[in-house]
Amino acid sequence: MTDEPDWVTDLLRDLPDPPMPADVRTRLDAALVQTEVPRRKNRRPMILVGAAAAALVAVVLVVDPFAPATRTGPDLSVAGEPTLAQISQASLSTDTDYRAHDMGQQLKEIVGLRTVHQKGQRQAESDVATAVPPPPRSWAQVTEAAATSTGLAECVWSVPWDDEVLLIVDRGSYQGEPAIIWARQDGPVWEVVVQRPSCDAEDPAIAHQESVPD
Amino acid sequence: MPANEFADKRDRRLLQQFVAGDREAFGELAAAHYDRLWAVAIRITKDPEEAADAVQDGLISAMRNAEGFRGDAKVTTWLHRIVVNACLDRYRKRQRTGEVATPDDLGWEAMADPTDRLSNREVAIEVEAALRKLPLDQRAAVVLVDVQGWSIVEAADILGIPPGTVKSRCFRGRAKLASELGHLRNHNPARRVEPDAATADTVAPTEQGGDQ
Repeated sequence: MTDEPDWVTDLLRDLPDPPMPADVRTRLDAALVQTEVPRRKNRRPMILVGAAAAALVAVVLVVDPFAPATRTGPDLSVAGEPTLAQISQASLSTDTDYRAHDMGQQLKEIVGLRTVHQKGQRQAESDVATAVPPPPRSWAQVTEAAATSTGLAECVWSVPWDDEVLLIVDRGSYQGEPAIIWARQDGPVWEVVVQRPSCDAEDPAIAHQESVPD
Repeated sequence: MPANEFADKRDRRLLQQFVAGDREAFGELAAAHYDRLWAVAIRITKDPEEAADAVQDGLISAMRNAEGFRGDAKVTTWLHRIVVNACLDRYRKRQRTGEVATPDDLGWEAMADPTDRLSNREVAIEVEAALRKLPLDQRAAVVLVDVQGWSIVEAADILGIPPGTVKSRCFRGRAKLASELGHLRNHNPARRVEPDAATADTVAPTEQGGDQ
């Protein structure tokens, strides 16, 4: 079971803050004194605090999830792979800000990222925007890459993020156990997570993860 | 009155005074937050010069937009949001141009304070070094939540991302730090924990690696 390394958080919590150097402090004081601030009269306060994060709605795309006939391999099998068009269409039915084109493009990007990842290369997230994505691969290949390159994600990984899980991409099996494949977005990058569905809210691992103080 | 509630009242008063025309009030407000803002800026940008520029850009921006502060967040959260975003913008721009500096001076020489809870400076330096290796997004989340002690919700507000994403980034960041700092697992006898195999297996799914 993947676990939260509490000793790491202890180390981080005890890390002393580096002090602001005196020369930086002096420079800031001077800059603030010299800054001209336009005064606006009879003006309603503008909204500075950003809008709340977009509500992200889970979309379930399950096509006969555990039908043996659709399983594609001994270790990781994926049932009824949704096409990009299906997922794009599904995204339209939610209230998210994501347009179908963006969704499709991002999914292409994650396919590209998985390819890079499989080769053991490193690619900065900032490169994604400029990289020409390779031809899309199937979800079976994508999820297989996710599963085999990182190990099967434990339930502790994805359940707490239910406020932003966008897509339950598929269901299948991995190493003989049922698995759910999630896709979630983190900035321009999509993560594909292969999760054991046997974990639930009663699982101690979930409780542990949920104990992250809010 | 709890200390941070008292501080927020003070901050709001200073901001109101500034908006009302007292120019010195903003300087007083900013100075009260210099150290915290610097600590997060230097850890995100990893460069003293960039950190100084980012804090300055952020504070000037805050100063110019003070009239627009709506008051539904703490003043310190608002300041951190502006400065952290200035840091992230600067770091990403620098990354795009390939000008990533790697200075190692965090001012440790000035930190001989015996009251530091982490008395072992070498350990602190090792942890800072590991922190610097995290991808930008994970580093920012871990710094805000685990180092600075912001709540997940507050950190999400500062970073402008959903709380779940903050959790996710913290989780991945901690996992990488655990792998990097495994030899420090029992450095503090008071917190000694039994070894297990789990930490070594703590791998974030579909990780890209490198700075993001």
